[in-house]
Amino acid sequence: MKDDLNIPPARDLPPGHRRQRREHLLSELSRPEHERRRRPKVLLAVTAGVVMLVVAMVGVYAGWGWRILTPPENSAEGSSRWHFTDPKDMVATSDLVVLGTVTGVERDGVSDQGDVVYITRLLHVTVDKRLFGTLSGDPVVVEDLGWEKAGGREMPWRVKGMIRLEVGNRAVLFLRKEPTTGRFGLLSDQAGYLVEGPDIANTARTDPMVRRIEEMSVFELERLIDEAAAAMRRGELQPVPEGGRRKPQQSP
Amino acid sequence: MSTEPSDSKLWAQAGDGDATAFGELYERHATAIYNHCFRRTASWSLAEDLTSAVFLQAWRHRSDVRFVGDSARPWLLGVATNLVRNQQRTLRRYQAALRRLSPPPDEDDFVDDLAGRMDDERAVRKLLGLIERLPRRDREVLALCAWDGLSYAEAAVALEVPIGTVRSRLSRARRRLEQFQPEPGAVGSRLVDEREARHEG
Repeated sequence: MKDDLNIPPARDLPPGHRRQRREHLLSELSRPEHERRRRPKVLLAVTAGVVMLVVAMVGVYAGWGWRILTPPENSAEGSSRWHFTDPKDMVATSDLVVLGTVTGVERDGVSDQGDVVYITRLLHVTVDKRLFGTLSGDPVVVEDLGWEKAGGREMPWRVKGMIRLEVGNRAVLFLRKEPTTGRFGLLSDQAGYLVEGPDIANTARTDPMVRRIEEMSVFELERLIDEAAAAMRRGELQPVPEGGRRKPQQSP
Repeated sequence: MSTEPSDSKLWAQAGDGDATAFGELYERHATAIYNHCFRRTASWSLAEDLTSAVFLQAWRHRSDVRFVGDSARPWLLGVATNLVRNQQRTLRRYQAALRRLSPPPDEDDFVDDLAGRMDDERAVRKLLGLIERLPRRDREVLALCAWDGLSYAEAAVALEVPIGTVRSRLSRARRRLEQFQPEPGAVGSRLVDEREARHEG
């Protein structure tokens, strides 16, 4: 079976295909510049026109005028109870880590703060693979930030540095069970990672530990999680208490 | 002594709008690009489309070309690496151009070759299944150095990273592949073959 792992020798394009591709390339290059670029410009102009028309109609209908054209970006600083610098600590502090796909999103509880109303949402996550912890049911339901309603307008409730999962997203999730509700939630703003094929997706987040994880393949992250689990079994790694570990006392 | 014009000379002519010179560059490097794209996708037909896209993209960015010695191949392989990385987006971008391509000609020789090509696709799918455990940056270095035979310096140009980074990524890829393999000594040395040992810093 080892021979199956040889790299097949190089092949040329079939002669007819090669000739055809070369001619096609040259004909594409000889097309006048304006002809090559016209289609996207026309498409862009038509798309922009349609979008503006729809926005105007919706805006006027709802009595918003043109405010809708410049919606403020609703982004708050994260206020996680944990901030990790080592992914293994994040594993140890999680109750459950899964690789799963979001198959449903539903509105959940409402918290009325006076001028702002916060709405949580529930993500239904079908588990492709349990990576750490005990899985008691599938799909896993994860409580997540939903929407923020202020001044009569509702918009997604986003936290800076935290991915917002939608139906169809595949992700690695580090989850913590809320003792009060018994529901799972993301452990911190560093606890969700989109997956693209064999890789952790790059979402251009700036946190150093998140950057480190986003440079991994899924397989590598799985190995890291396995290593953390093994370290826990050996008693070498413990969950991080809220607010972080205490620094060891310096001896006088 | 070779009388063939160098890549840089052809590129300069192409830069002045000489499409024939660009066609000559295509003749020179299409096979390498085609095989690179195949080894990254396990599909000969996708590799054909991506090869076309690489040269269309190279034409658009012809002022950005970087030569190693006098060869444009490392830079073209770098363009290919980027396009393979975003292959869905790439094919969408060049959809209109690829649609203008006439249907491929029927070729008896190619039909005879078909079984071998299908075997190749199976073999590469298996290889990709193994190396997809590596991070993307390591997979790319592995493909360029071990499979396409680029030197460290050439791979550094293709990936726009320092030579030391190429060296360390390749070394890490080999180490990790050795860890993944079912039989010690089998996989890593086959995927990172002896060509890698010939690279001079």
